[in-house]
Amino acid sequence: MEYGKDYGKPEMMAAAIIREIREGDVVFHGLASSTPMVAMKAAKALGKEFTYVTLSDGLDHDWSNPPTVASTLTANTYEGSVATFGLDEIFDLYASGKGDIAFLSCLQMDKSGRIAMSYLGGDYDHPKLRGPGGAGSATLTPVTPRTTIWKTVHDKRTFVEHVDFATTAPDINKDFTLITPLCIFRKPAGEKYLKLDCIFPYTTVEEVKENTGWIIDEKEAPVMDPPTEQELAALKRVDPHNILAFEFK
Amino acid sequence: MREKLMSLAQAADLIKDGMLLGIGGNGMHRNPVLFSLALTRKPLKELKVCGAAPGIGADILLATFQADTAYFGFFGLENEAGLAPGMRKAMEGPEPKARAMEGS
Repeated sequence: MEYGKDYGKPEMMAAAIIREIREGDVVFHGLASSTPMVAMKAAKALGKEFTYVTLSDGLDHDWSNPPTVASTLTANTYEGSVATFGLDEIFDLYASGKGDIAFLSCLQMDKSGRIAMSYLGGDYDHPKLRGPGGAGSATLTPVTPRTTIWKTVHDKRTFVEHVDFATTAPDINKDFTLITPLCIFRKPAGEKYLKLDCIFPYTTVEEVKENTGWIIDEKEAPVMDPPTEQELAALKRVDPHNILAFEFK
Repeated sequence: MREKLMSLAQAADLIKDGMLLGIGGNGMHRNPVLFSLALTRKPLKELKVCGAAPGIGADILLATFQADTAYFGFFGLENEAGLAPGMRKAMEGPEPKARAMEGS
């Protein structure tokens, strides 16, 4: 597979998200999450066996429903569900330790995985930029075994040396993963800081370092395989309107 | 049982200054936008709005400075329209007109 011809950053990120999901997992994403939504539908199309819960109250909806807008609140993630399973029940499920992955995002993050979602600049009551809030991440991150953050930009404005006000932060005893358009960082359980885990085929460790606000100690990193023919076919099948591209515009 | 079905104007008349309103819908979807617009004709003050993921319906009340507090987990218009402009207008800067009470 050739970058720029057969696939681009959206498809690479989606493939990386698909590969995070293990057989038997319970997986959640919330609203404003079009990238993981398309990836999770594609993972279902590929035959992965996992449980998919989301904010529409649908449990394992019919993954062949195509999204038509870059919202994860519309009927396509509810119709054909095997059961109605509301947000309150999702939070209870995760709080009782039965969730596996929550796909979440951020405005900013630092090397220890502290996430800003509330505001940037100023203080809480006088913010320079008021953000949307944690959207459940402050509840889910500490109780989720493999919290996974996706962010469709990779730059020094987003990945900063220090987050002033952390809306949430990882539990030191749990795995924590960050997927960007360039690479994957991981904080293994028991460790405090994110480490560069692998880079994508079209970038270099140097480019990752140049676009990251914290110091990356790793001098080299393995290169993740590009999306497979099967993964690309699954993405096209579940997303005929190319909603996956929306967050990368 | 008390009759709940009424006109939009009658429903808007139920709302008084300082009330806490649960605004339905999330983001850009399923919001009672006409109801929020009806309130802007009054106008009211010191309303509180709450919801798991309030969006355009609550944003109208913040944009018009009728609401001074929002209780929420996520307040925004998703990827489709981005950050909520009324919320930002009311909450940002040195002298904000409204306060965010996040429960997330």
